[in-house]
Amino acid sequence: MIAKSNKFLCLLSFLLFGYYIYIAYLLYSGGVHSNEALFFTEKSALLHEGDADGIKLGGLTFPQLPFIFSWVFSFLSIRFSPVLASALGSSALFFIITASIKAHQYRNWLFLGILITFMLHPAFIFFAVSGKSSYMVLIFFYLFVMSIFRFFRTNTSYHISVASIYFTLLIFCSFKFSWLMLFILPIIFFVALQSMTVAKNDPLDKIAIAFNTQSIRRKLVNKTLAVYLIIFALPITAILIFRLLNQTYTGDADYYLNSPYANYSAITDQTDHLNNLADSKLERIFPEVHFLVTVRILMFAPLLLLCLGIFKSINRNIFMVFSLFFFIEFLKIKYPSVYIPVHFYAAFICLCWALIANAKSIRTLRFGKHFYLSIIILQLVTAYLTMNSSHLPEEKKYQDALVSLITQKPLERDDNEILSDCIRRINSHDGILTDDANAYQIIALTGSAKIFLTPEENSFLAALAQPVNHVSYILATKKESPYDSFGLLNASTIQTLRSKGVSLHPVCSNKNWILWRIKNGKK
Amino acid sequence: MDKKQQRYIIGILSDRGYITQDDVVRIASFGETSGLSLVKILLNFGYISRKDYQKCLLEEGYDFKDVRLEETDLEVMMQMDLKTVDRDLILPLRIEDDYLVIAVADPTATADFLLIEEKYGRPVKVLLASDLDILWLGHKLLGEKYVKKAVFELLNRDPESSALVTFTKTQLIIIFSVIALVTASLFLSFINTTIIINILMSSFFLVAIAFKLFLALTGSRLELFQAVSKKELKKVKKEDLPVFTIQLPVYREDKLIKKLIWNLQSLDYPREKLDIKLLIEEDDDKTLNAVRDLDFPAIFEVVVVPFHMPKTKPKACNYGLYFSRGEYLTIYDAEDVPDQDQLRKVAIMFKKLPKNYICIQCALNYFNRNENFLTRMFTLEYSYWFDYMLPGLSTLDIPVPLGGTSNHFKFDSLMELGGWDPFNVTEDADLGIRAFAKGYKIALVNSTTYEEANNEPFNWIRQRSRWIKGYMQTYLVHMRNPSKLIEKIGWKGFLGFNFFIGATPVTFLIYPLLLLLFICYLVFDLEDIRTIFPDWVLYISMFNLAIGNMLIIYVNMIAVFKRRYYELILFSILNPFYWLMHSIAAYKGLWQLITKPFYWEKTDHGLSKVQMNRDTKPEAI
Repeated sequence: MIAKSNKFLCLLSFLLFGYYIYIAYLLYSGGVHSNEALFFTEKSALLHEGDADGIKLGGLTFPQLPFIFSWVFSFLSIRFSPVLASALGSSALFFIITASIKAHQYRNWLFLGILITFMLHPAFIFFAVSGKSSYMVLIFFYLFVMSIFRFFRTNTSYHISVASIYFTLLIFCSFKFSWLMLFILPIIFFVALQSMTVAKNDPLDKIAIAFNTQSIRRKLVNKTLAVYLIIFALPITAILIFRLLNQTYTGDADYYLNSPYANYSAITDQTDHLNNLADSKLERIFPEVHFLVTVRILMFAPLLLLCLGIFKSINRNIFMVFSLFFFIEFLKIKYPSVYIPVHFYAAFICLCWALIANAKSIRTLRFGKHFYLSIIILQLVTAYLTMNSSHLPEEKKYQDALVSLITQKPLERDDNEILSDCIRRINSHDGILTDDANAYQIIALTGSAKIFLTPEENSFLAALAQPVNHVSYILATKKESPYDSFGLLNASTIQTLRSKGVSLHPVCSNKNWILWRIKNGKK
Repeated sequence: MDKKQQRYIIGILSDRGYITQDDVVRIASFGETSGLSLVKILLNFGYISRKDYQKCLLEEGYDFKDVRLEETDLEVMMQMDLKTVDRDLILPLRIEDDYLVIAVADPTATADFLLIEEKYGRPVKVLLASDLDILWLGHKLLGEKYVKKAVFELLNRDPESSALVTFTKTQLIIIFSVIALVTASLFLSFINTTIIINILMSSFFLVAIAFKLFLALTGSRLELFQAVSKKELKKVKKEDLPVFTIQLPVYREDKLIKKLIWNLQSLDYPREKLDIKLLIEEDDDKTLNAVRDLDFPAIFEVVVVPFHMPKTKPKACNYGLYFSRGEYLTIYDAEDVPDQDQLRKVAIMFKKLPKNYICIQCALNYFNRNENFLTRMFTLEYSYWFDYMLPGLSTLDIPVPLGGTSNHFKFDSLMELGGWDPFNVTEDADLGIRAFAKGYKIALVNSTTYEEANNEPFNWIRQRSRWIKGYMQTYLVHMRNPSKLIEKIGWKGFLGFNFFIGATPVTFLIYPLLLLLFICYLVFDLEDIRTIFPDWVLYISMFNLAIGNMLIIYVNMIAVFKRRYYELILFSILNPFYWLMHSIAAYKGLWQLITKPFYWEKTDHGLSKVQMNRDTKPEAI
């Protein structure tokens, strides 16, 4: 009965937040960082301290909502802000899910399963401690499917409009979810068809009658179109407006997706792919290729099998599950060289809870509650295996770090900390010419953007042409760095500057970066 | 005319087959309980048409006089109270040859004549006249006391709440100071001032619309809530129902009278417990004659509103209050088609609610929604207003601006509030705020009244300009002392009032300006605009304008969902154009607020070619 009290859930969410913060702190101090968190930190630092265009930074950085949420925490601590946001967001996700099963007949069992997942599931811990936007994606995804399921049940405008709002917010957390629209279209048609008062039960008979009776056909078309519009009008117009703003402000409607200054994945998607090309796909249990993605999903979220078994008679809910499968397969086809992050897999676990929460008294679960808990525990193992074979180095890095924490082995520090430590020792009046398209990690780790001169600032181009007059240092990539071709300041730029007679001396370096000192540079 | 009668009117009508024996029993019983005269009941409660009544008396040898042309002596008339005249339909006119000349509607009411003879101390000379003429003359000559009360009651009792003064001195000082400040700032720093104005305007626009979306979502949560269930409706007994007054203020609505009777007849409420008052202006012979010419029995009483400025609907309604008998009171327009069980639902609801709920508002919607662009847009607007916004306001405990009709009051509480403000052209919205400020609450019930949507653009602009002017008036009245208002309605109510009542006209006024800037930006040279609006301002303004438009379109889209008007959903996209019409009306309203604040822009009704058919009524909620 304890799972019924809101106060108890709040308290538990707060304790969970503390638990996440503790792990996050250990990882952060051990030098384990995620690219997205560093990207958010750097943008927040530029907003706070830099001479950059605030509208461009605040208004066009993508994913926008997680960034804004993270920025809010930057008033407490710039460096730790994304992690604070993700820990809090993940606790909020826990609260939202547990609160939604409060009225369920088997809430205590369900609650236990959710608690175990949030405390021990490697992916959920990863979302909470990495500072990535995954927590927000899952929050809005969960709220969206919950609202959709409620709409299926009640047919009310409130639930459908709220679903639309959540969907819009979801897109502003992860743009790829916009493609989900395509796969929801047939479900809505099916739901509209079901709501028609036709004296037949079989869907095919219903379709036949609906299409051959003028009044029902007109009603069906009107209703389907109306639901489409209510669900999709808001996200589509929001995207169009956002693109218009991008076009107006930067001259490129896709700036928020393609520019490395607005979206960290513009570069990481490519570097991750290049990184994976070197590895053999066969080394993994299930490589991420078409059709096997579905197997990977089922392996990651075996709870799905239980749900499909229990709710097989509720067609529209089952269709929702399949639409998500098709959506993930579609993503693999649409973006063949981009790997699917683990939060897309975790969305299926959330979907399972949404399914259960919307079927309040399912008799089958009574017999399956022990089985449910067993699956939840099995899911921890399968998640470990899936994440261990992830194509995204960052996911594997966090997985290894968590294992190292448990086994009390030393953590592998981020290589970029060498540069950031070095930069922190430099006099803040000496400027460093930096291209934050790829150097955002170093700026973020330094914890302050004051010393850096980035392309967001007006004097950058002048400094690039005549560095001697503007800055004392240049931060550039090494030729062998995977980031070398993604920034303005790379090995060839250094070569060009040297050929122009600029005298440069290396101050410090790591695997990918060198900090150059300009002889007779700006004092 | 010989005052000694062989037979009474009831016998004459019964003998001639106009009324049945059952009717006779019912009339007698109703006469006892209500205290109304026999002729009043006969002509106003559906027993006989005026034409038949006249025909019958003519056949009996009586002669009708046009009492409006008769000579009158005000001193003689003043000895009789108007309420008695209205009840008995006997009007003393003058003294002539030591006789008291009286106009009567029932020449056989000898008992009443004796009472008058006793009162005046002289014999009477009876002139038979149409009851409508007696009422017309009686109200015109004896109604001054009541009409003065109708106009000045609120002003005398609570001058702070009256819109007689449009702008107070303080308000004028503030308005002119702001204008002076802006003008001076424009001279000193044109670009910076323009930037600040633009940012303020567009941000205000966005916040106001976001607030409306929030309200709509809050309201839409109540979609499945049935304030009064079918089970409760079935349980209620006829004898437990209270007397319900229905006021029907009309002006030149002669074409709608027949329709009005049909609509009223279909109300599921005991006829004897209905007190329907048709409020006709003194100079409105068209409507009076339409009532006179009805071929079938009327089911309403006529109250003639004597001439007095301002000539507004609230003044007529206030006047009607003095002749009402109901425990509850509501207002309908002539073309309204309320749900049949609406009055029953309201009566049940009032019994269920705590005592401080003094008004119940029903939803309004349109029966001619698919007639043209305007009616479609109007339906979209009303659907979200009454199905989402008002429930949203009520849920959040924010003052609810009442709709023009179908608001049901507790009669005593309405009188205590001082009735409607005759100087306010959206008296309903004003009354809602006034009631809230006094600690009263307004509830909403799951019942709809279908009206005729305005289908003609100029007529629409006239009507809308009055509404927007009224909102401005209401805002100015209640914002005379903001700190006092906060004290009365709290911060939440205050903010809600500002964003709902205050922001509505302002958004309509600034919308075309923002749109114009946007079009200039798109069509003309970008650089010219950018000198006034740097990139960041342009970004924020475009964001606000685009998001604002999108949200309001969206709110309209949601609205049709509850009513299942799916075919209208695409029309919500045309809202920006509809908004431009609002803007035209808003500027007209603003102009009238300054030049003629109490002028009542008359809306023509009965223009629609669509008839409301109860069998094919829009789907129930």
